[in-house]
Amino acid sequence: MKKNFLFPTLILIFFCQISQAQDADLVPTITPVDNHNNIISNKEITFTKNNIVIVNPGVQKIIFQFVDTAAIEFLVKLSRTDTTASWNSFTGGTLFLTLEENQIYEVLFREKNKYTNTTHYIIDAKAFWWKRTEFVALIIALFGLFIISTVFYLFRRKKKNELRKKEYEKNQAKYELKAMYAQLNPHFVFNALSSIQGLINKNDIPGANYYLTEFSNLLRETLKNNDKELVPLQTELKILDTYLKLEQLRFHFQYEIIIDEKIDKNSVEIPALLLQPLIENAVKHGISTLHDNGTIKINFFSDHQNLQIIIWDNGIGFTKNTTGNGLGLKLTKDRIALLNQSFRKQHIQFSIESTQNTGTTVHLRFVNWL
Amino acid sequence: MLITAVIIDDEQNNIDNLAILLRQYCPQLEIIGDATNATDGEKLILQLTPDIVFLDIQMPGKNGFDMLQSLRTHHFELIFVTAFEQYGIQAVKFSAIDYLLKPINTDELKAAVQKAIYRSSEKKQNKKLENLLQVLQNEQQKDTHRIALTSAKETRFIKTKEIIRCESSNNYTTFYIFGGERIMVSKPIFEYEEMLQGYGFIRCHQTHLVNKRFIKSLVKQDGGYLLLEDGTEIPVSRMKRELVRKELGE
Repeated sequence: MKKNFLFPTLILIFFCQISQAQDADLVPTITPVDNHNNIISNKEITFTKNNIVIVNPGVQKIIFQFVDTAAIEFLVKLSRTDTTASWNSFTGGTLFLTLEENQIYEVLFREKNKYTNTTHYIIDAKAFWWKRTEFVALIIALFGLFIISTVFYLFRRKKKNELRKKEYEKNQAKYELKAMYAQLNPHFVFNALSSIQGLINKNDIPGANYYLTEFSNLLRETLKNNDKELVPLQTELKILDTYLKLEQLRFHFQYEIIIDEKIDKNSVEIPALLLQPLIENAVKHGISTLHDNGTIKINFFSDHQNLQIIIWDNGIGFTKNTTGNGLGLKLTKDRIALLNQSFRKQHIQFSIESTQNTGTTVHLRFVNWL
Repeated sequence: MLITAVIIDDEQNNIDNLAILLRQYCPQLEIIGDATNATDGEKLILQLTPDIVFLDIQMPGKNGFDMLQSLRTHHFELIFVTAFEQYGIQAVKFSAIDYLLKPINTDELKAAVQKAIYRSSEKKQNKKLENLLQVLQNEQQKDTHRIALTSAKETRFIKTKEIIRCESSNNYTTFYIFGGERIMVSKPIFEYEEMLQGYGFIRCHQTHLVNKRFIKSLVKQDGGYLLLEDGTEIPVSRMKRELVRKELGE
């Protein structure tokens, strides 16, 4: 069906060309030739409609031959956009056109002094497939892609390695710090035991029972081989309370832990044992000499998404020159710096303010914590 | 009516100490016997059929769990007494069985005894004990383990693989069970996080504990959240991102 339909169309094109040829002798025979101008197979060129001639790769020359060239002039454009070309007369009966592959030439013929009748051919000199523009473009694109993906891959690998290294360092530091925190201060341990002995010898059996179990709770919490970085706020509160109760047995100070109702202490988590050294400082360097007049207040409150903790004591305070409380503070600062590395957007702000003989305030702000 | 109790502990000092504390703080109990090893303990229980058994876990030879496994009757209320939260304590917590830590806190002792007395008056089969033995016997087959969830009305034993997630609000934890049921329990979420360690749960947020098997994907948009099989979106907090990624093997 399709074939039958096509056949008349082809005949029509053929007739068109014939009629054009009758107009003037402007139709040349076009033949491919080799370097020595010997004619080679006609299969090397293909005529299509609109006078486009496709020349197979490897053909370096074609010739245009007319019956009579005296009255004809020609113009060869080396590319379709070439504007420098000009009309020439024939010398001999043929026009040799040397071809460069991958180029499109335009060749025009007309009768001298009769400019209305022009024939024009487009010569498409094809290149071998590996020299074609599309192929070259594809190769360049693939190469580019290869380069980009290699760079990307190397970049990612480097980043991954860096991350692994960083994590390793972080873990290392974490374990070192943990090891330091896991130890209960021996001073505290034996003083607590001594206080309990005191209760037994005073025949305060319920008291002795109470403080003994409190002390064992504290020991249990610290001995717990918990590799978790974060603990429930509730657990930390319990530890602080127990610690303060035991120290209270020795120093008879007052203490108060206030927590904002808005804070869900069973859900919120904070870094394990972060507050303990700060409380220890408040007792040891703050109010231990004040006895009944000593007061420690620990306040937990929220502002927006932030958790704030203020530890206040009315003790002797310290100046920069005071020695003794340096280590605990330094450890805390180091630990916070380390934590801030791992939770960048949820960092902890830490500040301490102390005036001699009026007291010390430690301020912790856990940004974006709630 | 007096409630009867026996104490099984490998150290006589511990038995004496607990007996003194019980006499002082829980006078409604009558201690009718004690034993310093599991074999004697077993005989004691069969002979005296006490209402409450105080049982040490760690004992030389047969330990407390072994004794319970070989025991033919489970018609008593059980309170474990242990020095440290070692092996097996997870199973005990899982079954919501009371346990006391040494040295004994008198408040905790009073509370545990009160609960045991209340339950023994109901004369019910001790399902918690049966659940404990079930878990201990099939220790490796974690899929079969059931966790005791005590709501206001009853104690349910739910397979951990059927728990989709837990959500915290203050002292309460709500369990979302496969099939649509919800159970609200008056225990904080961190206790369940601890109990469910090793069962494939991720604490991805302060208020959320999620079963890995119900996670469809980790979505990185909107600060990151977990998309569950049932379409629920659970937020991942910034602090937990690394942990979640590690847990999901990304």
